[in-house]
Amino acid sequence: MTTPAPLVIRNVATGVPGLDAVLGGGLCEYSFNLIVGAPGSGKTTLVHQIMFANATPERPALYFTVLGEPTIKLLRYQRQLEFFDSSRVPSAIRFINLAAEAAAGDLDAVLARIVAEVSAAGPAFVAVDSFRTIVADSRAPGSDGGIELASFVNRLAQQLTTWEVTSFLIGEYTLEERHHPVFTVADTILWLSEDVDRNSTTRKLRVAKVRGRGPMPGLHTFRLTSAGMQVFPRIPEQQRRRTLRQQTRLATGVPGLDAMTGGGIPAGDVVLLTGPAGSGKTTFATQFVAQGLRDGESCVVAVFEEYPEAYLARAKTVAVDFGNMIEEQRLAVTYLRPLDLSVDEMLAEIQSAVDRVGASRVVIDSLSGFEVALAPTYRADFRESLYRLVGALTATGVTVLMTDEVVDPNPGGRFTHERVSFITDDILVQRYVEIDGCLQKVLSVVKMRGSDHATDFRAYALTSDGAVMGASLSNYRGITTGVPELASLVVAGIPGG
Amino acid sequence: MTTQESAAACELARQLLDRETVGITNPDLLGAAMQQAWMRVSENLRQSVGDDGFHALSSRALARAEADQPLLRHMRRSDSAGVQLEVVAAAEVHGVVAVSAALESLLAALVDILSDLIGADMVRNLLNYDDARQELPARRAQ
Repeated sequence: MTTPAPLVIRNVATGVPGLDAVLGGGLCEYSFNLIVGAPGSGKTTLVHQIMFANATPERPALYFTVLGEPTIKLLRYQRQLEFFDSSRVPSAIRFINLAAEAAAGDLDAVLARIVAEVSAAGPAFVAVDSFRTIVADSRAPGSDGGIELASFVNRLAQQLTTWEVTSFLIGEYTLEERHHPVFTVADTILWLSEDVDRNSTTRKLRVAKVRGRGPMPGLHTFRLTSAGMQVFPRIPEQQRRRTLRQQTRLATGVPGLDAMTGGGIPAGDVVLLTGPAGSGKTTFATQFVAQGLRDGESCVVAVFEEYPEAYLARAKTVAVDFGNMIEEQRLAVTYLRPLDLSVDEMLAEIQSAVDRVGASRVVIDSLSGFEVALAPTYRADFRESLYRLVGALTATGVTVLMTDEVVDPNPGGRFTHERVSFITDDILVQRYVEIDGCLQKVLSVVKMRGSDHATDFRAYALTSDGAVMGASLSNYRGITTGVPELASLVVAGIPGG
Repeated sequence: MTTQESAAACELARQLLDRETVGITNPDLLGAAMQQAWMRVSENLRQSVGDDGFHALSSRALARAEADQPLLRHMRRSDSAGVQLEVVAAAEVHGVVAVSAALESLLAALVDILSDLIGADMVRNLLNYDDARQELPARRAQ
């Protein structure tokens, strides 16, 4: 007797960027899926996108519309989306209106019509939009329709599964209704929601249930654009393939700084450069990028506080032509400033740029701009957002340099925001001090993991050619007070020396 | 034919009529064929946009076409099921040439109105879908 082959449930790729990863590989073939959420949450767009990605004339998709949005309006607006290939309507995607059957209140007639159409067309996909309105019109007075709906959905699920159809039921539900009996029938439940926080809105998707798959937990942000839906999965660091760190050091491009750091920045590190306004953080970061380009590397700069054009104009002080580097696909300057981004969208944007140019250096300029660009709901948990962003980037092996503005760089002996320093390997601190009645810029290496780095403060200057490190202030005392004194004068007891 | 309709809509309207009437010369059969053309358009559109959607479309198309084709007023009958056209009876009274022109105007108006809403390409596909469907290989019904 031969052993029967094990049943393999095939994946259906959704065609929605990011969604297959969230679902644990895609949808199960012949699954019965509920797509639920409030009106305007993107349910219809999601299902259309899946259908246009998969349906063929031989194995079409049937899209049953019931009561609610008129089909003409549905077609009028949905065809504006890039994935909506109108030449495939109705050969591959057919829209069938069930309003007459639904309005008559005869659920058996509705079911019979669906089955008849399925039987005639042999579709691979079926959607009913919206299944809740089918019962809303037929329910008995005083009833909430729950039992009738569950019964209808159960019968529909049995029919569609038997016909080997991957099906989608679209319905308006709120999270408070998540225990509705209809949900027990589904193989997959996708909740779409919209968070409103102050003036920003963030769309989120949650896989509430998947049979036979291990979905990615949590709420995943998504965006609806003219291209359709794009999901930005939460990417825990450990789920990404980690790249082993190279035992090399990267030149910073700032004369004198490599010597202070013990030979350059260890490749794969996360470097934090903090300082007050005007201290030259962007200049240092730009030189770090230019040096990488000179050394044959590729780089990504994520700017938040100025337009890329302005950044590139200011970068003309370095000897490397950033414009040419962009044309040669060795440099990408991403501009992220919409004020309602999720950290996952930012990560996707930066990661995409890293992949596109094959970057080994990433500059985030600046963290305060990054924080402001986040939707308020993410700003509230900035530490976690930053941890996820940096963790995902460094897991791929890139070296990340972040700038951060501090108002008082040394209040009570702290050199950085404590919310930031926990994720960094290396910390460089810039500050102003007064020496002989002049404002002087100084820098110290506070932390350089695994390195024999300098511990003194050193002056630096911002010249027309960029930042240049200068002399050590090792003969001064009290530098962190901002008003240092020459050590010899202090010893001699001369006040204010 | 009304002056409002686009050349593309008029061409498609003519094709929709020709699909049923080509080769038929008997006036009695021509009336029935034209009736069939209207029924086919109705069914193809009702399938997608529903009875209410088709009723709204055909009512507006009639209102637009009747200005140039008053004969349509004698052909139409509206009831709870929507707009009905009594093409065969009208052909017997007014002749197939006049009825054909009126029906062609109505179809062109219908095509133009729907094209403005969902695009001419999709309208053409929807109206020709039953032809396309017959060309598909019959799928197993196992």
